[in-house]
Amino acid sequence: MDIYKKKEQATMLARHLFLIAISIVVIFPVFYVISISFNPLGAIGSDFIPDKFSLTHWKYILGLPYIEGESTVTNFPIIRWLFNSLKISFLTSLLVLFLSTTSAYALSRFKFRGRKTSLLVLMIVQMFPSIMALVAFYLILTFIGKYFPWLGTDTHWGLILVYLGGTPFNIWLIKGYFETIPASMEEAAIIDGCSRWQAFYKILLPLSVPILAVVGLLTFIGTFADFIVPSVLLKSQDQLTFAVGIQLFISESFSNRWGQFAAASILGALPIMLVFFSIHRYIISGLSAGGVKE
Amino acid sequence: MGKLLIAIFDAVLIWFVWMAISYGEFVVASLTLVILITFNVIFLKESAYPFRYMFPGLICFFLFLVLPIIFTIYVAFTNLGTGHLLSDVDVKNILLNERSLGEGSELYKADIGESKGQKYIILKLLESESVVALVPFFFDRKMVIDATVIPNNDVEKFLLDNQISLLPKGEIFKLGESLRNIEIKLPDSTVLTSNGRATYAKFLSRFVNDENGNLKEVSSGEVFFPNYQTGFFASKTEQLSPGFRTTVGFSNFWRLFKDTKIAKPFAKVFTWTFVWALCTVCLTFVSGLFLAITINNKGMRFKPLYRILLIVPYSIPFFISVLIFKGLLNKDFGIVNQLVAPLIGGTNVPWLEHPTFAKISCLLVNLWLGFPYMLLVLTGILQAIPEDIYEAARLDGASKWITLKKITMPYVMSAVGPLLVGSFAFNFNNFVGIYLLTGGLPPMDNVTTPAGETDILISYTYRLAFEGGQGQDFGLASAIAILIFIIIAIITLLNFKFSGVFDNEVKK
Repeated sequence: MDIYKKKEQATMLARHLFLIAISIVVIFPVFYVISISFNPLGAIGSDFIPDKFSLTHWKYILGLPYIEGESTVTNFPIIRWLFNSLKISFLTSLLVLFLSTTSAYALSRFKFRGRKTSLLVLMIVQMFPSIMALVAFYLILTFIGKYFPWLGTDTHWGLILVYLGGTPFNIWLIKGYFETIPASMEEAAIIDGCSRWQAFYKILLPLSVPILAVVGLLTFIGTFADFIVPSVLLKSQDQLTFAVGIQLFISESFSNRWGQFAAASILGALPIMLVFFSIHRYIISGLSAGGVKE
Repeated sequence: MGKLLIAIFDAVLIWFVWMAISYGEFVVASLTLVILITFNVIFLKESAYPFRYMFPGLICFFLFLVLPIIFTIYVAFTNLGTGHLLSDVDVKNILLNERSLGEGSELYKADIGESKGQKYIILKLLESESVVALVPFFFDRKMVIDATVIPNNDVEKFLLDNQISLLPKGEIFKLGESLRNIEIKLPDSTVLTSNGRATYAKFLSRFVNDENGNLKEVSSGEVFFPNYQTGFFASKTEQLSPGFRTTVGFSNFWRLFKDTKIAKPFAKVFTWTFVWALCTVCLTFVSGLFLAITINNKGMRFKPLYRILLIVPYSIPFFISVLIFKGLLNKDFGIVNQLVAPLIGGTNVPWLEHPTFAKISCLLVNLWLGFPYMLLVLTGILQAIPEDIYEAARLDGASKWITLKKITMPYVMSAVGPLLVGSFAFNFNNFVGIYLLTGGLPPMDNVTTPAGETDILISYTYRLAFEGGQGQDFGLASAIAILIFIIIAIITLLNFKFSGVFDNEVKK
């Protein structure tokens, strides 16, 4: 018994050592970037532990005077880009959530003609590489912009419109989750006098918060992280999203702006990480419930 | 209440159709009409009830996914791209507008003045005299204006008398294009025309319409016919730029297989795309599964801590991580080489420059980006396995290894099919993972298209379509997009056929 326990302890120790080692390798780039952002040198190959500590890169990206005793500030509206991205991602995920939840409800709770075809079409169309529809997106938005300038190219609402096509995958996810919830509760509510619509948003939706959070979050992150569509559709510097702006910022001069880029990366990644970790539990339960069949 | 909303929505749509017709946008009008009819059928017919929930989703799905896809398919059968952007009618108009300076004629710069909404064009013809033409405020109709000639000395007085103020240069430049419409007739009945750059001269058209609607060159009498195979106006000896867009049948697809300059790199890119997607899925899945099982152990301490640490990469937007890795892997200054070089004798590894190393780098970076997702989902699946099965196995004396082999793995494998296929499809088109790290580089040897060693189909296509250099080829790019689509569609449908997931879905 004692030997057995010792063996068990040894394997447990091995497991911990292994996981610690892996964690260090995985986390290393993150800490390195944090270190770079406080390193006044901020060169591409700076040491892991800086000799000096300075906030100059942070002042730079926040639009504050960053050179001691001078009042120069950067020309790059980095904070504005971040705000643009957050705004676009938030609105997109709200709208996508609305569009895909209602569709998923119909597909999971009704038997009707056209259901099979709808599912098949959704499934097939989502496989199309949307990057390649960029030319079409651009031409469609240019056309719309002729009559509604606030919806054309180089506008945030136009960009959001393009993202609204990206619902099929979310419909599948939400539909999978709805089907794990027994329909009997809604049926009972309807017998008690609820309308179909009330049963949907008063009974089913509150029960589906995990998957709604996951879909909303994934859409938010996906929109925030996308730079191909906005890089084609947005032009003026003040309109850019964080992804496009920071891309522009670093690609112009990779080695000279390494420190500022590090600080900006942290700033841009922070809101996403915060949202992500505040509800990452739902991701586990939400994704697996959608994927695992009973 | 519901009826009222329907009525309001109908009214808005009808107004929209009306506006579209009045602007001459008949495609939009008929599209809106279709939406209007669909809307009313769905919301008034009781048997279409389920579609009421799908209506908003369906409309967006159709307008912003289906329509662009149809357009892309159409483009794959055209020559749309640099030099072939406009329709034949537009190109013809451009050619008809091509003007050359008549013999012995001079260019006169136009000043534009304004007074009480009326515009004046002022040209200085000679040292001694100028011409003033009074033009209507609107520039959108073709017209010939009679001009008055006044001595240069009197121009200033003329301006003052009529309270004309000259427009700034920028304004004049903006009006330049519309000046094409205004021709100025001098007292000796020579007509001056504008070339669209706020200059006037005795311009001659290079081409005129001949009786069959073809272009005839005025100076040589040569006739240019539109050639709908090549997309150019051409005579027997010469073709005119720009070309126009035209349907070219399957020629974009043939080029992928027959044109050796395109086919050879395409085959290489094609192979690497499969290798890349397969390797990425395997690497991320195996490492994700291994970590998930290691952490998900009864009696394991700090489970949440490990999980959180290990999913950090997934929580950072990919474009940021990839750009950071590009810096870390820099050959001369990157921290990776600073750590690695001393171990292997001081040579810097060309992580992103050497064909093989670049491929390895892509895979490793993508492993870092991708395994947390697998870890996350697999943890969910592992936690969904009922604990009492393990309890029963333990009571029956099964070892850890046996329970892993007989319970955990079958359960996991039965659930991960769609996950793996989804991951494969994602990485097959993982643009950011390649393009932001290597840009598809290093370039392949002995090829003329912009193909790189690490290019996957999607990045290769993107570079064909949107990166300048050799001009953009939307037609070819769309053809590849359709091929990608077909490949992904076949793989996914096969998977669903074998796993039976879709049958279950649609039979219910």
